[in-house]
Amino acid sequence: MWQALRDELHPQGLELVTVGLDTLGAEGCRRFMEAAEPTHPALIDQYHLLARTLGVINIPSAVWIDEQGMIVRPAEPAPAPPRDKPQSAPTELPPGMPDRIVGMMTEAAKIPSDPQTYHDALRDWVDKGAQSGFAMSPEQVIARSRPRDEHVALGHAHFELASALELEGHHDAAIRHFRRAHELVPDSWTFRRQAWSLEPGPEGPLQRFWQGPADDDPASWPYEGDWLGDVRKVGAENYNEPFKP
Amino acid sequence: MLTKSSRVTTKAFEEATGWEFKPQGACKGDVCIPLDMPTEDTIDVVTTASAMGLPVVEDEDHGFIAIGPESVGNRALTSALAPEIELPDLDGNPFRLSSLRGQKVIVYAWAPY
Repeated sequence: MWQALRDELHPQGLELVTVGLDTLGAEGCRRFMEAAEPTHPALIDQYHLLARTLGVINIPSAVWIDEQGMIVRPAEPAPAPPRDKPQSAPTELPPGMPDRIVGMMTEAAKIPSDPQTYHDALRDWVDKGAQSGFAMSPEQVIARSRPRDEHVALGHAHFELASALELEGHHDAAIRHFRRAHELVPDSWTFRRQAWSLEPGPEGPLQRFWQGPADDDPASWPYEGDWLGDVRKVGAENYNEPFKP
Repeated sequence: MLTKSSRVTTKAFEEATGWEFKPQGACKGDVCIPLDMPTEDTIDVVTTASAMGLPVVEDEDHGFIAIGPESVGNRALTSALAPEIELPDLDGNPFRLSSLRGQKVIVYAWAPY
């Protein structure tokens, strides 16, 4: 869907750069990237550089940058382009789906999303540039970027260290630093989702989406939270911040 | 930035942290942190980062030093000028975001989990 939008708006001077945030790098991203057959730059971010440099705290999110290299909208939730035909909602889930996955899909369905508003704004900016009401001033961009005090900054160092330890095969040591990162950067869903996705879930395609304790061994889960529990705690309606012009 | 060496070249430090050493200090965009100019080609990572107020985490068991980002303005961005971001594509070829100057760019973050 993003590919189609890019192809449509590319002649008007818009380029799309997709960035997959994953400690596992190409190994984790390849399947999805090859299926998307991108004609635009499609990059891999093993250490979540986008979190540190742009303030990305959840996915999917996006940053707009103008022709002069100035950010005109900082990182914010970026829903997929609206479909021409409304998707028919599945009335029921396939039988035999584990309770955790049913719970996660139920919560995910409650997360508010307004692709029309976001994409109308994007098109307005592509059309009008700096004259668009959705392009912010440098001062607004900085003020609207994520809060970062010294605790948050320290949390980023722990996350980067955790990523390196994981990649060198020191999984238990990585967990300690992922946990510190979670404590210090509590608003980052990506820091949590990344760490949760590196735990052994059930075998098969759901493995990295499980994001929580195993049904048969909940005590070995090394993190305070998990996706289903954390989303229920904050409320699915608060999972993403709403689009603010 | 991540390193296993306590001393790195000033260039490596500048590229990894986004802070550039200038006579007035370490600078990013319009923001400068007062700092004595490095007098050698290499610098002590921990000393320099600490002097700049950047967080440092060391893992002595595995020899890593991690330097976190600044929090001088209490925001993720200290400047609206897009930072240089260099990341690899699926084949490992590096790509620089700045190579797209002259076009509007939407940087879209996703994850396979």
